[in-house]
Amino acid sequence: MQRFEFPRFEFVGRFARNRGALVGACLILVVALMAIFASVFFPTDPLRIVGLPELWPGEDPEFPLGTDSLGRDILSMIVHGARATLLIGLFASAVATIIGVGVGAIAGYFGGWVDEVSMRAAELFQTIPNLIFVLTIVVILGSTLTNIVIAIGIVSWTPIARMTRAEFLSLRDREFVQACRSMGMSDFRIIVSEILPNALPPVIVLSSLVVAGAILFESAVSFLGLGDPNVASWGRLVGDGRQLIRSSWYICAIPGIAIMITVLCLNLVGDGLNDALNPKLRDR
Amino acid sequence: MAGELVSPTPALRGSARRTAALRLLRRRLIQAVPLMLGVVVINFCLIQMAPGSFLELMTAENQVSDPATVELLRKTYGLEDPVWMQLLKYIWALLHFDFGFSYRQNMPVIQAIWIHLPATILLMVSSITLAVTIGVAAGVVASMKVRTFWDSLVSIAAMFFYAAPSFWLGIMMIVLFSVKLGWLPVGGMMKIGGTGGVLEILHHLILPTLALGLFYAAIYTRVMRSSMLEVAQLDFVRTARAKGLSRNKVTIHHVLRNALLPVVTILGVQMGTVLAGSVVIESVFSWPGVGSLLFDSVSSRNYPVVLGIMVLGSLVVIAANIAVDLVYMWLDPRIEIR
Amino acid sequence: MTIKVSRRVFGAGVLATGMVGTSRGSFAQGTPKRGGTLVATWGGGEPQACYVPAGGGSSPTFSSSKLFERLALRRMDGKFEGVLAESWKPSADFKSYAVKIRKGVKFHDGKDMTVDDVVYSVGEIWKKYAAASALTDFAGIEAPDAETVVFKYNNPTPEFFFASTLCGTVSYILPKHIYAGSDPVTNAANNAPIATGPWKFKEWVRGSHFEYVKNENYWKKDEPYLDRLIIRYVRDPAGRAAAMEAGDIHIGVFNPVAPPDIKRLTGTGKFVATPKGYEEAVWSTTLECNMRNPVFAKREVRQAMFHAVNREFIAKTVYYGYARPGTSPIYSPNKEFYTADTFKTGFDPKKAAALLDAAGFPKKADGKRFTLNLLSAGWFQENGKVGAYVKQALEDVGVGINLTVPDRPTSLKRIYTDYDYDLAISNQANPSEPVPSTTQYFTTDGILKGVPFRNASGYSNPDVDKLVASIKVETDPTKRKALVVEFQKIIAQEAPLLPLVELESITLASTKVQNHSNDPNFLAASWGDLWLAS
Repeated sequence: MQRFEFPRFEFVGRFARNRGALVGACLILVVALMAIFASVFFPTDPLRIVGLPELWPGEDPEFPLGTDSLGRDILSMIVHGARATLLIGLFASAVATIIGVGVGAIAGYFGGWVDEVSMRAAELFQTIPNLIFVLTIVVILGSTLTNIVIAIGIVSWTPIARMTRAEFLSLRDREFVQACRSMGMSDFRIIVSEILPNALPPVIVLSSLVVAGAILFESAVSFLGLGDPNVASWGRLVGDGRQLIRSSWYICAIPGIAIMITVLCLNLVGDGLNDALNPKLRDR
Repeated sequence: MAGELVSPTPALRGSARRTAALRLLRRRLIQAVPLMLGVVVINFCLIQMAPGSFLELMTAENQVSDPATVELLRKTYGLEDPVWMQLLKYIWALLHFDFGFSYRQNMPVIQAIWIHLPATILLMVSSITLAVTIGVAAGVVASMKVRTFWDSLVSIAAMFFYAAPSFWLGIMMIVLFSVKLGWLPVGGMMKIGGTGGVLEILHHLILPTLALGLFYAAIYTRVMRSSMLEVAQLDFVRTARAKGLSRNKVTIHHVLRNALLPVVTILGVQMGTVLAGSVVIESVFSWPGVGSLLFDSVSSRNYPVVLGIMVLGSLVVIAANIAVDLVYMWLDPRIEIR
Repeated sequence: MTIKVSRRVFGAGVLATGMVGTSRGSFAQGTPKRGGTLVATWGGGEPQACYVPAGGGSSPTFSSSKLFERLALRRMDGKFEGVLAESWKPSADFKSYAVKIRKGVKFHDGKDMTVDDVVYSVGEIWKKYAAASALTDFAGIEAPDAETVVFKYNNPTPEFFFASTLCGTVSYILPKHIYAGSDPVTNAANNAPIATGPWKFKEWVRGSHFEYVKNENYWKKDEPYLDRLIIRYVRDPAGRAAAMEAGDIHIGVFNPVAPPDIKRLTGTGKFVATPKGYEEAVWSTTLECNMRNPVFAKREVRQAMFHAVNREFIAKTVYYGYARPGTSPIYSPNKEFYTADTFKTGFDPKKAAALLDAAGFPKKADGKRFTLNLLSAGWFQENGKVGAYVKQALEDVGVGINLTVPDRPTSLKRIYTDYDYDLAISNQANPSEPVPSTTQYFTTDGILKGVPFRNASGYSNPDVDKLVASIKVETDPTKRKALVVEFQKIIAQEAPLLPLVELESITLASTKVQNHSNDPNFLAASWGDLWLAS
């Protein structure tokens, strides 16, 4: 029986050979640390008004990145925003992965009409313009973090489902699976404990890219003013600063750079994972 | 979907090729029917889940408190039927190209969309053209100078534009080119009081096109580069090289054409996302297109219009995918595309 | 000529007023020049229809008021003046008013305006849509002869109230031959109106502009001075500022550009900014307490909410100084009824904390007394900022806050239909006449589920109801004012809903534009008397 073994050292070596991925992973680590220790660095609510409005970066050493139109510390909002942004990205990716793996596994394993229906459903969700769908869901169901995460998950699962299905199609008739069947193992157990672990590596790569996509989705939703007002997400900061581009364009610029760097690093990490986990698969 | 076209199509010639194209077209059109039905049902149900009904909004905005008038409005908007009946009626009307009536604008939905359509089509076409042009050119350059300074430059630029949110890029370009340098207008499609001349519109089109197009240019660059490198490894290219054809000639005649195929695929698949991206870009640049209409309609719960845009948007995606399949046949793939 | 914007209370200076058709305002010099095209914009978006029978907000009011006319208008000096009415007179018991209708007025399609049109408009449009809440006592209208209509009321109706009704923002006279027998809400003419005003509808290019042309048969001699009026819609303030700077737009009403741009543009000497012209539509940002939450049973708790908030900060930071703290449910520009002598709920966090302690809400272990849902209506961007500040201010006195900033439809539903909030930040725009616009936020009969901009707090006080009932029927102006002062004193102390700040709306105009900002609701004036200097 073939068991999935995580080739740890080999994996790290292959990942580290991609220098971009290494840099990306380090920066992501920094962002993640920012997110985790946000409350340590800035114990007060980041949405608190603490100074004069529209202070430029460097104008007051107390606020190295300046203050926004109300007098809130931009650095504090960026650091706390890292938490919101990363969490939304991770959870949305988790939702997409759960749906995608579920649908893809069932479709690939059972085949026939189940496969047909599942793939038509995937096609359906690919057909509806994604961001428009997210906006409509958020407006209709309300601008809460949960709804935003679910909405992004709903539009992001289809590539994962296709990938999982393809892996299952190629794995389901392998000898070790047939052996399990002949032993009378239930379909559910075969899917979850036998095929899935082997199908996971490419799915992980895709999930990491969905995190990046989810961050971009969330930033667009928040930018349009449909985000959660209790959360200092980066996209919302860009949206808030938009009216002031004539006098204080830094309010828009700083959170945008934060989004860009994070997404860039996640993409680099995705590339690195891609190289490390499945050298065959490229440029998805 | 284009991506399923994995088996190598044998080279067809003349009428056989036409018949094959027609057969493909027919199959795709038949497949599109349940897809469209699904799109309508999903979106219709989604809108039914909305807490504030359109009727409530209308009565609130018009400050109607008289129960009799509310009943009258309910009848006028066809809201007295059960939900499934409303859905059937909607589908039946759609079959007659009737997208319903927008009471807010006091005109048929299709007309409301029609008014905003040219601006969006212009923006989409110019952005896609820009993206494909830059993407293909940069991808070819990078692949021909692989592992040189130029290759790195292209790759790094692509990385950045692939990660930058388009709305942020748009705002930053406004800051630089409109506010600081004063070269380009901050928004709108024509000068206020302008005549809408070609040059005037082009002048306004530059920034939104860049903001929307550069993201896709980055994708096409990356795809084009790797696809060029991949095709260059294939047998027929090696044969051509062995025949003594110059490198540039081989690249242009043999590699480029085949390497374009993945770009075409992505183009078709991404038609929907380009449309969706234009919602955000239109909001940044006050571009008077369907995106602005959608945003206004969503915020005023003008559901007939929201539904109409969703259905039309999905139609565009389906049509784009069919077009991609046909382009595939035209490009005559002798090689296997995954 | 540059007018510096100041935050002084407007309405203090009495403006020179003259005869109809001559220059009435302060932005005029010399003899009117004829001809030319004026391009105007406003600080909002395109309307849903050119004319909306129930008003539909400021945008359709702006576009329709250039075409349609009312029976009367209120001048800058506070006096009323007939428009389509020549005069009006109450009966001895003040239960009916006879209104003489102007002769020789034609609709844009050439048909004569008659008393039938007035009877139709009042009975079918005003009563049902445009002015329903002002006509609760209305008993009917009839036309005894071809020049007179008689408004009948069930109770005595004060003259000021009646005249204010004639001046209602969208209390227009509609052509009966176009509207009778149709659903006025969906009548196709709403998108290409036929009316009596100085401007004739020519074209609506959606997403861009309205084009109106001079009404050659206008009843007022010499007006309009201009040949064409373009109402242009630009989606964002930066775009409006750029267009005004380039000379493409001459005038923008209701805060067309962002505050920093006002200073920049007036600094060039080519533009003037003025807070005049909003005296009959004074906007405010309000905070209201949902009385259905038992926390608010004691009025000290409600007062504490207001004591906790620094209104000066909101005025200065959120509105860049284009606002001033509110003190009373009647706003300070209201010369007829405003009183400064009311209970004060100024910024005093210590007092707020003390009041809450005394009311039986001490801080618990987690530092909070209780937690409230704060809803900030998302129809104005500034409301979100006010909400963020109020959240912080209340948290400072130990009140936990969950802030939501829903968009317009959800805000309307949650505040006025579901009453799903504890504290709400919203906005009002009120004319001088307090009944019903202002009073219906506080009276028991204003509690109408599903009808927006009424009593959503659920505040119900028999004394206030009785007071408002007598304000409604008191025909002696001096006694009436005393009653309204009494009303303000009660409400300011009871504090179910109070303005946080009164907003100063700004009109920005090129120095070429003459005769603007000469009407106390300039956005909704006919603009027949505007002209362009060369």
